[in-house]
Amino acid sequence: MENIWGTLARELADASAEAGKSVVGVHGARHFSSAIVIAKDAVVAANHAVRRDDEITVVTAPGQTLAARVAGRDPGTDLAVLRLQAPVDAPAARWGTTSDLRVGELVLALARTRRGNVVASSGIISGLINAPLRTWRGGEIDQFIRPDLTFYAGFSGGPLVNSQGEFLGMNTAGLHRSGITVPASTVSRVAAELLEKGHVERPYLGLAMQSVPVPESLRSRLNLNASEGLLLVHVEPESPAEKASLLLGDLLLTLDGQPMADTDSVQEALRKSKPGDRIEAGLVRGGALVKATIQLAARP
Amino acid sequence: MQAAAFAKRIRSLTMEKPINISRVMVIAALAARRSSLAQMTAQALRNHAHITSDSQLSLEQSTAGGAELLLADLESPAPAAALIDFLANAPAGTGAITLIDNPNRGWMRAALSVPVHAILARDSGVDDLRLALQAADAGLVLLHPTSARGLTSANFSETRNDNGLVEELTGRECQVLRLVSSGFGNKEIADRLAISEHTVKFHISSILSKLNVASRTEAVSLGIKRGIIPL
Repeated sequence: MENIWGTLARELADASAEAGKSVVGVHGARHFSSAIVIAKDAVVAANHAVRRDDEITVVTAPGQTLAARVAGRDPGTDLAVLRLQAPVDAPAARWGTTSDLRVGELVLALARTRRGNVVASSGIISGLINAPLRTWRGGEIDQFIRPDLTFYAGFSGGPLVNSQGEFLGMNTAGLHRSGITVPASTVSRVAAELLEKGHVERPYLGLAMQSVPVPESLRSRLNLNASEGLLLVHVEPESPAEKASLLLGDLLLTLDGQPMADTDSVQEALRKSKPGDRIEAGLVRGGALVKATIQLAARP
Repeated sequence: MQAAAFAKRIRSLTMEKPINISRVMVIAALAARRSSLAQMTAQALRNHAHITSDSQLSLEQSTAGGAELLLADLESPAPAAALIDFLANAPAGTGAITLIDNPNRGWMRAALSVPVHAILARDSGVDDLRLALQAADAGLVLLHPTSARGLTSANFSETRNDNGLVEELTGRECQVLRLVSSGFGNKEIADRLAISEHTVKFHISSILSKLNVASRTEAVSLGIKRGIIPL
């Protein structure tokens, strides 16, 4: 009669073998990492680990390789999509949802070695933040997922797998010193845009700002509710803000009616927007209230 | 005998010891300052050296002139940062004596990692300059007391400055920080700015020190809040 240990061992091994079919290895010059099959001719990898754009070798099984080239990169989320030069005989990843993940859940990380073998690491979900986060590379991931397992060399680009064999996201050591998992929703969203456009377009204003208190005299004279605003300390040339005639020294109080007391508020407003959107800025200039319409553009 | 040996040792450490530096390039923005520093250098080296001068650092000029040592007058943050860039890319053996007032600790950390042999105050005289030249010749580092005061262990630790004060980043450091926030790695930043990866790492180290943060993530976050990184 099989005990719990035996059952768990067998299920982990079965899950590794099954999910591993959708994991490939990526050999780009001196670095080796993993990637996840997302289509017959495309895989998603960790951008920081794929240093060259072409002459990449993808290892699909022991002794089996395919040539590939980078179709698109998004350094902000550390994702890169590679286009394979021939169809791969492997199933595309089955993505799971991460919204109901809990700290303590048992998970697997998979990777594929230079020799084409599937390798694994196991642990639990150690940390979760269920809110969008800006990465140090300027991108945004939908959720912070930190698994407590060993990120061996070559594990970046491989999947985090749950007990259903679903891929919860792509593991990477390139966004956080602990090694984290870019959630499935972010991987899917970014990979789709990379396949279509080759890059991710993010809206920008072209403004550097500092949070400052609004002087009491100004508040009472202009009947303002805001106690803080954002002083514009730099307007980038040719930027959406410059084209909307915003000036150095303007005090930004609102964007689309929402109070802008700090730069976090501006980032939140941009997160909800896309290039081409028009937003209304409420400003104080020279002691008077001014409105300006800014048409967001993609950062060049 | 002991006294004689001791006196001999003291003599070897004083201004009477000959200095084996034969080619010095003086860098200073103003012609009058260059002339004054060149004269001081000639006096300190007892007129045994070939001294050239220029208003700014040039790898071609210093290499063509065969300068072993630079005497750099750093009157503002821009030339101070440029010197670090320059030394990081200069041929091995190129060193510098710097004249700088109130250097910040980020710059000092970077300076002590490249071959800067002396950090003196800008009003240093011939005697201090000669000691600095002796230090350079001996492969040692000489610091002016006001500079050395900035090198306490607390300043090199990663502890936070709780009063939230932030040192000013140089123009180049701001450029590097903005590229970091756009997601570029060291090599990509180096390629975009036409500098070495080594220099990029220096700048990032200086940025982290000046902003009193422990990671790029925190540096980017603070950079946005401080109006260094545009959104």
